[in-house]
Amino acid sequence: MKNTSQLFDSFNARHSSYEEIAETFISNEDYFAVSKNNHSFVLGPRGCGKTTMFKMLTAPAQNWWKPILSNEINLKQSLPFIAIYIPSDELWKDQLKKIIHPINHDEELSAFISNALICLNILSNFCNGIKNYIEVKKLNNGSEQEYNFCIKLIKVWQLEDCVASISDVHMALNIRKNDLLNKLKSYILKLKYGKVDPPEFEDYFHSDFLDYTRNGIIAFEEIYFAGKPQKWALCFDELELVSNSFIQTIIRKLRIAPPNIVFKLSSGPLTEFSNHIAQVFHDYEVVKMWPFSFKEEQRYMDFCESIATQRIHQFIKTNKLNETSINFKTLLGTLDYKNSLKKEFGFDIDDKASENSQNSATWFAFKELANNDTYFRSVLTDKVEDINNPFPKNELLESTFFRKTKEIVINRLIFNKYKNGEYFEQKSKKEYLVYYGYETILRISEGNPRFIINILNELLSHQNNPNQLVPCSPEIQSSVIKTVSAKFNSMLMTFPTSMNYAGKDIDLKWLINKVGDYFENEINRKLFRVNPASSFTLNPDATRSVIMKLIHIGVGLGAFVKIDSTADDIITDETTRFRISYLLHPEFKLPLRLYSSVKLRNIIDPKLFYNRTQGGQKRGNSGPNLFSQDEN
Amino acid sequence: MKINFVTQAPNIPKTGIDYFICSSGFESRGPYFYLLNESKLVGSRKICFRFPDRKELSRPANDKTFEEHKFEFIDITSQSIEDYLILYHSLFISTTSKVINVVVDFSCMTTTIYASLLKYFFSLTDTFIEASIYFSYTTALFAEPSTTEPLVYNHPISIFDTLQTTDKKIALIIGLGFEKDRALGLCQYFDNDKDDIYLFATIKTPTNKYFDSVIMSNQELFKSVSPENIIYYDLDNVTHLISTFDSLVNYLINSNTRVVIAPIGPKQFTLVSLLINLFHNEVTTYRFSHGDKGKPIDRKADESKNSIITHLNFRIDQLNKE
Repeated sequence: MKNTSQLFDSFNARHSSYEEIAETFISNEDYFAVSKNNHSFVLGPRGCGKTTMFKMLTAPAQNWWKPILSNEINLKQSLPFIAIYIPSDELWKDQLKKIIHPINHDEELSAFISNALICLNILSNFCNGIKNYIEVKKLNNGSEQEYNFCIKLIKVWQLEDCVASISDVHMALNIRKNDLLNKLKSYILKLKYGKVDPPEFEDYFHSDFLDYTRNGIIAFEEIYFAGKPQKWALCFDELELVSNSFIQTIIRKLRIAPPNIVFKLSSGPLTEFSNHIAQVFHDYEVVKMWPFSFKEEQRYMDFCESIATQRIHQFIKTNKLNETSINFKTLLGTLDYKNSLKKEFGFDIDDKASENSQNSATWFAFKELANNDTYFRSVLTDKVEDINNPFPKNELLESTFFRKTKEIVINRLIFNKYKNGEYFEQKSKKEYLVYYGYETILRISEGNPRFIINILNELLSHQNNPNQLVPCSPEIQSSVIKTVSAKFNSMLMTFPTSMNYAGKDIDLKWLINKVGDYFENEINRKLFRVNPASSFTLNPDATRSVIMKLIHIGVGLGAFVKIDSTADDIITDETTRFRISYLLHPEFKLPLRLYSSVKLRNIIDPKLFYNRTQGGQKRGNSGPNLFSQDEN
Repeated sequence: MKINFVTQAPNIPKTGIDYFICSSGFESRGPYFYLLNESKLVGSRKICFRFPDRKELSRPANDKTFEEHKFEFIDITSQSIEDYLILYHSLFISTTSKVINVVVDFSCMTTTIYASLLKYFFSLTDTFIEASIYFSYTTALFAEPSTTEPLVYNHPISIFDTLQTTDKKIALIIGLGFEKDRALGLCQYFDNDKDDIYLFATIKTPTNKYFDSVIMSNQELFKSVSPENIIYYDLDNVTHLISTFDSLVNYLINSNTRVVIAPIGPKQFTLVSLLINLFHNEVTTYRFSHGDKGKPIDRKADESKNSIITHLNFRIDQLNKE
C-alpha cells in the first residue's frame, strides 16, 4: 500500500511549499483568531501547527487555498493584511550565540551586534515575502515597478553599490552582514593581544528593524498601491530560538507599532511575559495551541479527527480503494476493556452485565487484582462486602471509588506480574490492549497534527486489503501506539540538551525518565491510591534554573504538557501543573488520565531517586543514589 | 593560504617532517602510528597534546611512551579554536623555513584541535609559502557501542562565520556513527524535512563490523530517509569520499540551502567534513561530543589495516600577494 509510515512523514511546514501547505490545511478556531487585525502571540509546542498557520496567512498560501466552509471563504476574501513570514531555527540560534560569545563580557556591544544581525535577517525575509507577494498577485508588469521600488528601498535602507532588483537588494543585505561580521572578527582578534576600543559601526547598523521595515513597506505601497496604505502582518515564528531579549523588544513595540502593522508572534508554551512592558490581552491576544485544559482537549480531539479524516481520504484516493462507509471512528473502533480482559485473562465476562455488577469486566478485574495485589486488596476490603464478589456497597462508592480507579486497576493487571501478593516484574509484550480505539488515539495525539499524522500513517501502513479500507484491529493499534511512543521517546532522548545539575550532567532524557518512572511507580507499583500523582508542580526554592531550562525544552518539544485552568493563564510559577505527554504514556505504561500532582522536588530529590532499568532488572522502592558510581 | 590539493597518501614522507603532533589519551592506539613511523620522524619536533583529566585505561602507558620518545608535552584545557590558533602560532613561528611539513596523528584528538589547525594554516597570509599537512588516522578494532550519552558540546565549529538568513532551508548531512538514535535526535534538533536529510554510512565489507552496528543503531532514520539520500562510502578511500561529498555540497549550495554537516561517526569523516568546509565557507560543520563525560573505551589499533593518511597542501595565494 502506498503510504510512508516513517517517523518523519510528519508534515513539517517549515520548508514545505505553499501549495503543499494549502492543499492539506484544515482551519480551526486558532487560525481564525490569528487572522484578525490585531497583535497575536501564539504559544504551542513543536508540531502543533504554528508555522502552518502563519504561512497560511501569506499570499502564496492563500492563493493555493481552496476553502470550502463559508467562514473560510469569507476569511480568504477579507484577510485584513499582507503577511510577511519571518522564521527562526536552531542553526540560526547556535550561530548567533557563537558569534556573540567572544564579546559576552561587553553587554552593549553584544546587544548591538545581535540586534543588527537580527534586523538584517528580518529585512532579508521581508524581501523574500515581498517577492512572493509580487509573483502571486502578478504585480510584475514589466520590471519597471520592481526597479522603482528597489530604488526607493536602496535609498531608505542606505544600501550601496546595489542594482535595483529584489534579488540584488537581498545580496546587498548579505554583504552588509558580512561586513559587520568581518569588523567584529577583526576586533575580537585584536582583543586577544590587548585592550582595544570597540569598532565604530556605520549608522545604518544602529537603526531599528521596525523603522527599516516600515520604510520598506512605505516604498512598496508608493509603487504598487499608488501610495495607498495597506495593512501588514509581520509573522515572527519560533521566537524562542532568537533570544528572550528580542521577544521583550518586540513586545515593547506592540504599543508603539504604526497602526497599519500588526505583529504575529509564535513561541513555546512557556514564554515569559513581562506585564510592565505591555499589557497582555490588552495589547495582544494570546492563542494557546495545545490542550491545556479538559475543555480544550475535546476541541483539539475534534481538530485531530478532521486531520485524520482528510488523511484517510487521501489514502483511499492514492491507493485507488473503493469508497466505503468506513470513517476514522469505524476504522479504529472504541476501547473496550472487556475484549482486553477476555484476551489477556480468559475471564468469562457477561457482555450484558452492567458495569461493576457481577461477571462484568470491571468485576473480574477488581477481583483478579485483589487476589494478586495486597496493596489493592487492603484498599478494596473497606469498599466491598466480599473481595471475591467485589461490587460496590452503595452508589456513592461506585462513583467515588470504582469508576475512578477502574483504569488504574486494569493498568496494573495488564502491565504487572505478581508474586506472593506483590509486584514482581513488568510483563513484556508486543502490544498492550489498553491503547486502542479512536478516542484513545485522539487523546494521545494531544491536538498535535504531527502526532496524529505519524500515528495514522503507521496505522494505514498495516492495511493489506487491495480493494478497501478495513477496520484496524486492537492488536495492531496497540502495537502501533507502542512503536510510535517508543520512537517519539527515542527522538527526545537524543535531543542535544546536556546541562550540569548538582555536579552531574543531565539532559532531557534524564528528566523524562525521572518523571515517567516516578509516575509509573506511583500508579502501577506502589501503594494503591485512588488519586495517584500523574502531574507535577514546580517549587521555586528547590527547582534550579537548569531544571527549568530542561522543562522549557521538554514542553517546547511536546514531551511535557502545561496544564492551565483558563486561556488567560500564561504565567509559569509554583502552582503551574505539568504532565507527561499522552504520547509518552504508553512508554511508561500510564493510563490516559490526569490524576493528582506532586512537587517536582519529590521526583528529582536524590533520596527518592528511582532508576530506569535496562534489560529486565527488577525495580523496587529504592534505587541507587543519584550520585552513586552505579547509576546508569 | 589557499588549498593547493588534497589527496590520500600511502605513507608519510621518509624525511623532511618538521613537526609531528599527536595527543595522549586513554586509547592504546595513541602511540601506534608514531611507533610504526618512528624512523621517519627522527629529526622532527615532536609535540604531544595532553588533557589534564581522562587518565584512565591506557593513558599512563601512553604518557610513558611519549615521554620515553622525548615528546614535548603541551597540557590543554581549552575548547576554543581561538586559543588553539594562538598556540599553533607560538609553535610554528620559530620555523625558519618558508615551507613546512607537519604530520598530525588525529586518532585521539578532539575535533577542536585539528579543526583549529586547519583554520590556522588557511588563515595564514605570509608566514609560509607552502605547508603540507599529513593527517594520519589509525582505525580501531571494533568495540561494541556504549549507551548513548548526553551531549556536552553541540555547536557550530567556527571555521568560518557562516551566518546565513533563515529564508533558506537547511540541508542536513549526517556522518552516521553507531550511538543508538543519536542521529535521530539531531534531525529533531534541526527539524528539517526528511527530503533534506543526507546520510553517510561506511560500506559493508567483510572486515567492516561497524556497518551492521550503524544500521542497527539508526534503523528509524534509514526507514525515513529516501534511499537516494543515503550515501555509502569506503573509509579507506578518502579521495572518493571527498569527491562525493563535495559534489553533494555543491549541489545543495546551488539549490539555495544552508548546508549543515553533523559528523557523529568516524573521525576520518569529521576531517573530510572540515576539509569540505574549507572548500565551501558557507557550510557549517557542527561539533557533537560528550566531552570528558562519555564513558572511556580503550580502542585498540587495528593492525591489519594501514593508517589512513590524508595529505593536504596549502600554498600562499600568489595573486593576492602580488
